[in-house]
Parts: sequence; structure tokens; C-alpha cells
Amino acid sequence: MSILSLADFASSTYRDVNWRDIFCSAGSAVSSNAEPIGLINRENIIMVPDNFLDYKNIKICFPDNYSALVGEDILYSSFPCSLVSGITFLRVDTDIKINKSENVDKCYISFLCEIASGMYSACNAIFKYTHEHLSRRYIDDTAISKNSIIQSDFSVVYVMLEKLAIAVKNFFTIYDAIYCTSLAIEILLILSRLSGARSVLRNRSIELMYHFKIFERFMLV
Amino acid sequence: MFKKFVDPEIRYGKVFTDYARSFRQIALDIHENPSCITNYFNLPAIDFLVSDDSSTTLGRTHHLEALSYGDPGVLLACPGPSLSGVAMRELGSHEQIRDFYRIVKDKKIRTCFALTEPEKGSDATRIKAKIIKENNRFYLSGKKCFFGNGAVAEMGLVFAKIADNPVGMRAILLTSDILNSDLIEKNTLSQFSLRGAQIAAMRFNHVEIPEENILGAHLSACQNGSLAMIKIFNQFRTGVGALAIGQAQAIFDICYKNYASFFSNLTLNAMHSSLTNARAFLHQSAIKIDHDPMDGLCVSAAKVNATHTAEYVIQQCVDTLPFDVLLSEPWIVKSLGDVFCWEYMEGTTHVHHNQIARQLDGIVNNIV
Repeated sequence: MSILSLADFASSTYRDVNWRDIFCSAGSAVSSNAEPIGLINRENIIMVPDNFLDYKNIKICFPDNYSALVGEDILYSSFPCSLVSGITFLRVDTDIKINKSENVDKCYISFLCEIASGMYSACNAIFKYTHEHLSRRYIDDTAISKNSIIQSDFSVVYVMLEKLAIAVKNFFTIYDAIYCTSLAIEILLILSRLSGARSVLRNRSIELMYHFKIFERFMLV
Repeated sequence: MFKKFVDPEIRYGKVFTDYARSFRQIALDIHENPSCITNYFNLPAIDFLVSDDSSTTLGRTHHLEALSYGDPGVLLACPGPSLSGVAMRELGSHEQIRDFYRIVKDKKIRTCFALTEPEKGSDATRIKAKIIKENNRFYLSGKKCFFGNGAVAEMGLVFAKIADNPVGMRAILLTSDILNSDLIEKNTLSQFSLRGAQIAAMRFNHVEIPEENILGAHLSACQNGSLAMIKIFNQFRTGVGALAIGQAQAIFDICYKNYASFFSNLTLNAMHSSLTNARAFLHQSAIKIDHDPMDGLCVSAAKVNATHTAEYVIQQCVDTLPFDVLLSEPWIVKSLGDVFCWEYMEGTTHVHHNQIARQLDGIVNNIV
């Protein structure tokens, strides 16, 4: 058994969760050819999967349309790659007119809704494997998941997950995306506390929460 | 108007401010590749760290905050005695302590402190790693996980049971000879945040340990057991709180100096008061621990408060700054990831709340 497996969760349902997968799956779901696409905010900054080799033909989902940019329009302006996992940020450097009205294109909202749905799914997965892990860990012959403080935390998460599920079903505006992200961040904070040190590793709750925070800031402009 | 800004040179002194500055300059490099810390072993800050063989809890709380103000990831990647030094001073003989500090200083080595186990966490009374005696030789077997610098350290301490009872725990000094054994498997775990910590997993497969490396031969079983662990952790917990506060103070200072217009006076004052209060709480607790290392109630509360304060301040700053500014301030963004890691060092909030809960009767009785 690999030495790295010592950091595994005691759970048969564990799966890696990461922002890149959520973002790319959402983009693929709404793009015309099932290819990942980028998302632009109201400050002309684009969030895009980092495996776009050809930045001259990035398809971007705009609030008011859905089109391709050409390379000359884009200024490369990203965080160092160690600070974001699987995505990058670019800045549109020309006077592209972005409609700042409240009329938001259906595709844009669908993209955000798919992201919210991915957030819900990721939180659910972490909820499940964390609970399973703590059911298999014991203190004084009692499963940790049976501890009343731990159960209280899981109960709070359950209520918030139900709220998130309903919010995803009733998703109509950019503000719904911000609300869902904020809920997901609250959920992950509790779940990461329950998971202990395992949550600081890659593809787990702390990394996901961090990317949700960045996404929240990206949308809140 | 917010007018309470304190220059870091006044708070930490010129020398530590310079040390902090040198850490900040290499912060993103170390985050990208923690092993490149070896390129910076000539930094005066590292000379200071490897030479620290006598700091008090209060002194450590002060200087760890100052260095974390530079960058906590760099600090954690650095050579130095760290938690192993505190434990050596508690459990080692005079000669062992002297030799440990001499080697750390002369060779500028990184150290590790292997207590936490994958199935038992850091509950010292329940660890499963064992030292067994066979034909007058001692052998160590067991698994350790989630401790800093495990795969890169050239010296450190590991904790194991020599007898199956609460006082049967012993600290074992790991030298480079032992750590290079083929019977030890070790690897750095893949982290996204606070990557300088290089948390690791390690497995000891019947590793022979020279008897003189089993610390505490001159101490009673009680002095060696879990009580010793409580004293060691109590002496280091305010240091972890200080790492959190140093980082949050740095983010606050950047925001105040460069981006104050985005913040309301109310928010600036609230963050400043929280940081000042958390620092005073840590210092008061450190003074208590220097007086009585078993007085853990205050440090538990101070560590929890410092962690939460740092999370609050850094999140508040990130939530307030425009996204454009965040793009131009990668160190602030890095800190947003790092800050959630303090929770898991030297006891989580749950653990500390349990500690406090166990002493509630005494707390209530002491209320006049």
C-alpha cells in the first residue's frame, strides 16, 4: 500500500473534487460543441480552463451573448499558476461592449446554473464521504459520527444542502449564483472542520472552498 | 477616520521587520516549490531560526508572528528546531539538548515532529506506533501522518508507545542515519495551501533505534508520558496562533496602506481591534504558560480566537478588495488559501472546545 494512502479517507465513496472539473463540466454542458468555454465578468476579466492552448479562439460566454474572441483582444493577466488549480484569468484589453443591463443571456445563466449544480454535487460528495469516514473512526468504542457535537454539525450541513438544492432549482439571475456560492462556502467550511487535516490536501474541501471564494469575488463586480 | 495604524518596525522591531521582508520576497517561489528553500539558507532570518535554543513561549509568540508577517509558508519550510526543540528541552538530557541544537545550527537542518497518526489523530494517549525490545535492541514500527517537513527533515522526534498504558509513551530522536534507512517510507503529501509546511506521511517498518535515542531515560514515566505532551503543546500553541495573526496583520496592513478607500472606517477599526485583542490574548496566555506549562485553558482559548480572527480579517479583506486588485496582489490571494490551515495545527477548534468544556466546572467556580 502506498505511503500516500495514509492520508486517505476511510470511505468507499471518496472522490476528488475540484473547481476545474466543476467549471469545465458546466462550460461543456452549455457550449454548442460540448467543448469547455470561458466566462467573462463585468470588469472584462475572463475565467477560463488552463488547458486552452489556442487563446486566439477562446469561446467565451458573455452576459448578453456567446461568441469567440480573437487573440489580440486578450491580455494575459493571471495569478501565478500555483495559486489557482486548473483555471486561469485573462483580461480583455479592448473596448468590447459588454451589456451591463440586467438582461442576461440565457446561456450565461445556464452556465452559472450548471456551476451551482456542480457545487451542490461536490458538497454532497464531501458530506457523504466525511460522514462515512467519521462513522469508521472511533473514540472510546463510539463512532465519532455519533458524538452529539459532530452530529449537530452534520445536521446544520444537511439543512444548508437542502437550501442549496432548492436554490439550484430556482436559479434565474447572477445573484442566484452568488447566493449559491456563498451557501456552498459555508457548507465547505463546516465539512472541512469535520474532515480534519485531510481537508487541506489537494482536491479536497479547503482547496474547493478557496476556489469558490475566488469565483464569488469574480462574480461580485 | 481610522488612525490606529502601527508601523511593523514599531510592533516587531527593525531586525524582525527586515527578516519578514526577506521572507515576503521569496514567498511565491517557496509556495511554487518549497524545496527551493535550500537556495536561501544564507538569509539572516534563517541564521536566527537555527540559533534559537532558549526562547520562552512569549518570545516565540512574538518572533513567530513577526516572521509570519513576512510569510508563514517560508517560515514553515525553514530549517530550525521548531516544535522538536521545545520537546527536546522538555524530554532530553543536558547532553542531548546541547547536541541537538548544535547540529541544527551548524548544519542548518530541517526538523520534524511526528506525533499524529492516520487513524488516531494527535491524541497522544491513543497512538499506535510502538517501540519493541528484541534481543536487547529496540525497534520502531508505526505510521505517522500530517506533520511538517517529514520527508525532507534530517532530524526530528517521533512518538511511540513503549508500554501499553497512558504513561508508556516515549519520544525518539530521529537522526539523519535513521531517517535515511530503507525501512522508513516517507513522502510529502500533495497540498494546495500553505505548501511550505510540506506535511508528510511516514511509515516505520521495524526500524532499529539506538537505546540512547529514546529520550527521557532520566525522567519518571509520568514526566515522559502524555503529561509531557500536554506541556510541549501548551508551549507551542500560542506560536501557531501567532503565525495566524502575523499573516492576517500583514494582509490588513497592505489593505490599509494601499487600498483603504475600499474599506469603511467601521470595518478597518473592527479588524484592527480584533487583531490587537487576539495578539494581547496570545501574549497573556504565553506569559501564563511560561509561569506554568500545564495551564492550558488560556492557550486553548487564545489559539482558537487567533485562528478565527485571522480567518475573519483575511476573508474580510478579500471580500472587500475589487477583483482587479486581487489579480494584482497574488500574496493576498495566497493567504486566503493558507489561512484555513491554522485550524489544523496544534489542535482544532473542536479539540480546544473539548479542553475548555472539561474545565468548565473550575471556570464557573472561579467566577467571583
